[in-house]
Amino acid sequence: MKLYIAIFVIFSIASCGGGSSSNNEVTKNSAPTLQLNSSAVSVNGGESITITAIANDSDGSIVSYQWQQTSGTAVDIANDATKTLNIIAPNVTVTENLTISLTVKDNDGANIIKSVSIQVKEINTAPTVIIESSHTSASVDNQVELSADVIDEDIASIVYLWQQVKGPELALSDKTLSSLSFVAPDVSAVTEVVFSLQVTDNIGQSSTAQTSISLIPKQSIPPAVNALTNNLNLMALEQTVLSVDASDLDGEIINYQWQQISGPDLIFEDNGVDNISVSVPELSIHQLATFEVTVWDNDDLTAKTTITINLFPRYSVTTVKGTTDGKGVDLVILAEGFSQEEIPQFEQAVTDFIQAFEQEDTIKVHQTAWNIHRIDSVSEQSGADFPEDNVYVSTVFDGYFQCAGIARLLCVNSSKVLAVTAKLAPQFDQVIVIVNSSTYGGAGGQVATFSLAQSAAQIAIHELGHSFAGLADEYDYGATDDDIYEPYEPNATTITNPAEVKWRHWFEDINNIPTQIGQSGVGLFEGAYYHANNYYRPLSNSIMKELGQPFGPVNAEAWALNIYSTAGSILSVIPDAEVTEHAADTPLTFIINPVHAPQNNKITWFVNDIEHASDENKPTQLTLSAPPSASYSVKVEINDNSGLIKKDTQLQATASYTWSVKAQ
Amino acid sequence: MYKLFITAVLCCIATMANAATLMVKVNFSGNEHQIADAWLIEQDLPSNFHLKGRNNDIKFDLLDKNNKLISSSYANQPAPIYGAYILATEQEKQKLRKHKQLQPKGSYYLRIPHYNNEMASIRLLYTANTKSKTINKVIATAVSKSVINREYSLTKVQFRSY
Repeated sequence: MKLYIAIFVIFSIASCGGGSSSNNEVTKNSAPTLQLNSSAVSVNGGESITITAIANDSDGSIVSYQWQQTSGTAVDIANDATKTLNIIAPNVTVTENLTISLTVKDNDGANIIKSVSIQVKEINTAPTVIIESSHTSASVDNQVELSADVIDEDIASIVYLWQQVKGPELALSDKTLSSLSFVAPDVSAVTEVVFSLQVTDNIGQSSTAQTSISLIPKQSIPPAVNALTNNLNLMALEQTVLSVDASDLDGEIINYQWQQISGPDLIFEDNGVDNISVSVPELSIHQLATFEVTVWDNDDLTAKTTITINLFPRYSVTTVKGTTDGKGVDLVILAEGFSQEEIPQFEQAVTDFIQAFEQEDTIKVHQTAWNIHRIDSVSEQSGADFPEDNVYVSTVFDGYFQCAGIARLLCVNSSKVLAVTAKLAPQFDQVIVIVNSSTYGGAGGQVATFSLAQSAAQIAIHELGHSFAGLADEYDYGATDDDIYEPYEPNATTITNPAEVKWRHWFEDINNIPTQIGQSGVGLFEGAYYHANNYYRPLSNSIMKELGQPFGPVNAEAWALNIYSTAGSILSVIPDAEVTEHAADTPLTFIINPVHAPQNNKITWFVNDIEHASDENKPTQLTLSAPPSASYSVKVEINDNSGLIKKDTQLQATASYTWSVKAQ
Repeated sequence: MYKLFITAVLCCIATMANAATLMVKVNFSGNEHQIADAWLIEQDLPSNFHLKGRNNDIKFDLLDKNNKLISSSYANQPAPIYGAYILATEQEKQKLRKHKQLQPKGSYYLRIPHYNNEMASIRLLYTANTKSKTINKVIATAVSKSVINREYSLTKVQFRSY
């Protein structure tokens, strides 16, 4: 609201200072006259004002002008000696009157004073406003706060008025306050909402501002799903449960869908939950089956994962040597890269291997301990992969040369091999895979492999040296300055102090350590473990260095000890109970059935802790024609007597069995 | 020497026939070992592990429900792979000097005879001292490895036939 104040220009004529009057000779002086004209009667601060004086003296002349401010905020009166006065109106916060007076004198000393008042009005600036917003974009359920930032130099009271000028109708808070709030609604697409704010001051001056906010559709987080059972190895007719783990950070999983997308039809029922029970059908060949699992969350978003299963037929298992009861050392030989038509070749390869195996000087000593089984694991295609040459075939155990970038290192998928073996021949102690390839190759370790190259059986024995006896390679690939480590294998060392060498009990001449290459007997020969220097081996040459060579004493001892460690010494005893009874008048015969041939065992019998002779020509049997007492003990001790074992710190090659007997 | 323990708690196992063999599948990835599966077979088979440990073997203890030791046994390290000697060029020899490779991951099986419901848990213990490093014949600090404990419940252990 604007204020207007009536303007008055007042010309007031003050008392005339006329001279004194005389009656006779003295001429009376007429006072000058004065009129003041102002260029404006009302101005704003900062505006210029010109006041002009019109002065006359009828009997003389005007001799001086003197301007003076008599009220109001001080102004600069610089030209106070002239008949025109220019001043600048001061800035004021409250309207006021500015009074300027002028004194004019004539040449007789008479003067006249007049004043002029000019209204100087206060300045009202319109308020300025900026809208501050808590969000530039808002998702569903976001609380959005808009607030006014008003600047008004006049310290006036402000009236607010908010308006939504664009976008879907929103539930707004009080529109007449300095702030406005609303909760962002859900929208199907990005939607702009625009608000305006008008602020008006008490003078009636106003300003407006606008702001816009983007409403964002709900950003749902898609669910996540992971297979808990992947790469399972299942046999034909086997049942198992496949399962996934699904989660949704901003909601919940509401549905699962299982779909088999490849492989032979498996029987399963999809109940829309996180697992299914599947049944594998009869198979004639190994296959892959893949399931796709889709999960939905409550926002109808989805995630998928796949589960792949390796499926195997129930291969034929044949025990080609020994027993199936698991007593002894059970070696399982599997076919890799043999098609159905090539299984006879696999059978022949097994036969050849066993022949070489049984003839090996070390192995044959404890030959009776071994049970050998054959699994005719048929492959869809023949041979093995050569990845670096981009040659791939579909085989049951994914056999491939160039393993770890080494051309003749022949690897298989050991998880598959062991899964099949554990299910079809669970008595296995050692596994070896024959790969149907004439390319030289093999590997030792958890699963040994060898190919059908020349000297295949020798490769197999070398690899079993690794796998079964835990032996190291004794060959080298030249000099090296590599960092060296003390190997844990029993036939390789970095130690040159004769008193500390692992196989010192086999040294031919302890004063000949290290030993010159080419000398016979056990010594300390530099070059082993792939390094020409810093690593040492027990013999100048052995099968762990070169095919066709013997194991040698150190390696043979490790082999023999592992036979005992795996198979023990005693297969069975009669009577088969540690506490037994018999009629006093009936002779009782005690029998031990050793794992190994009697000639390789020293068997000692004790009756009541006194050594007792076995039955004549039957070292494994003791018959007591009469009991020594009503209660007595019979003990049999069995020790390796093969000569292969010189040092048995853990007494692996020693066993005993004790009967507590009552004769009644 | 360093040790790793993996404990698999076998709880709430129903009474089973005496002549049963517990088959346990253990998956490994690096030094992490995790029991992945277990089942029973009716055939009474001997163990597939050593009664006496060798260097670098994995030891596993059978414990009862009171964590009392029933027996200890040893399984071979599953990871190493060895090759056979081949004629090699000088260029190939550099790679072949690392001929002993390690399977990064795989599995192995424990065959535990005479299963009964007193067998409450399995604890695996890796006792290798093979990483005592010798550089210029000076024994350096042993290399340490991290291991993650896992638990596997055998509440649903069942007989299977293949």
